Amino acid sequence: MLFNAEIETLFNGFTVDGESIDLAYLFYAGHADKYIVYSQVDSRNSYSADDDIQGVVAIYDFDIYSKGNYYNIIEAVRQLLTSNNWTWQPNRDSPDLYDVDTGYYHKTVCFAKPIQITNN
Amino acid sequence: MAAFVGGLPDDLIKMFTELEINTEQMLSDMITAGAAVVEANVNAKMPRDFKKVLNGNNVKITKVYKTPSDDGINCQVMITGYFINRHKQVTPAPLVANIFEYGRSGAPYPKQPFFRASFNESQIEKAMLDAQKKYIEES
Repeated sequence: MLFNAEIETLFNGFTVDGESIDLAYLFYAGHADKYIVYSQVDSRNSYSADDDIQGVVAIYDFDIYSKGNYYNIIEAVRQLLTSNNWTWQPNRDSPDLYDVDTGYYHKTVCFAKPIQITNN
Repeated sequence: MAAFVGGLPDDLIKMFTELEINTEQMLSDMITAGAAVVEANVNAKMPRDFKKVLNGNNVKITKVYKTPSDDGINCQVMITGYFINRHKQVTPAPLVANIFEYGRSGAPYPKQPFFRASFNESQIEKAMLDAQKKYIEES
């Protein structure tokens, strides 16, 4: 949960093609045709010194659900995050998925961001 | 005119000769050692609910194979087998794993990613270097 507050701020009022896209952490309880669910799925030590961890990379999944074309949403998410120092992790993305019973297309895109740990 | 004649120690020449012969075997052993780490991690991190629906060991390592287009030597860690539900419906286990890994719309529980998190680079690298030590002596 290292970057949840930043993500919530970044996606506040997030719109794609003039349409507002809801964002939820872990689980979306609404009924919109397009929404994004995010969660931290992993974290790695990025730098250690003096017998302690000095830096961590947090890895987040952004699950994009849409009942129509979702490519513009992916592109908008990618631009928003990469312009705020997030790094896209394409080898961790999901394949294109479709949930038959709900009619949602689904794509998971993955981003990482480092954070420096200050030990006082 | 000055001349210089240099020579490598015999044991080093012997090691290079052996390496030339054994390179492919070494790379194969290294990649298998790395894959074994991933396999162990997948088994350890697998959600209990997913483990419950599988029968036996469904995480497997493929044979090592070459991809000539990029001179690669590879193998894969994969989930195999089938899940049979109480209505006798058969679903490939990788599809069930997909739901745990990436989640789905309308699922009443959050996703539980375990597969991608099993690829711990430093752990894999250490196992691969340990396998390499069998072939290359460090002095």
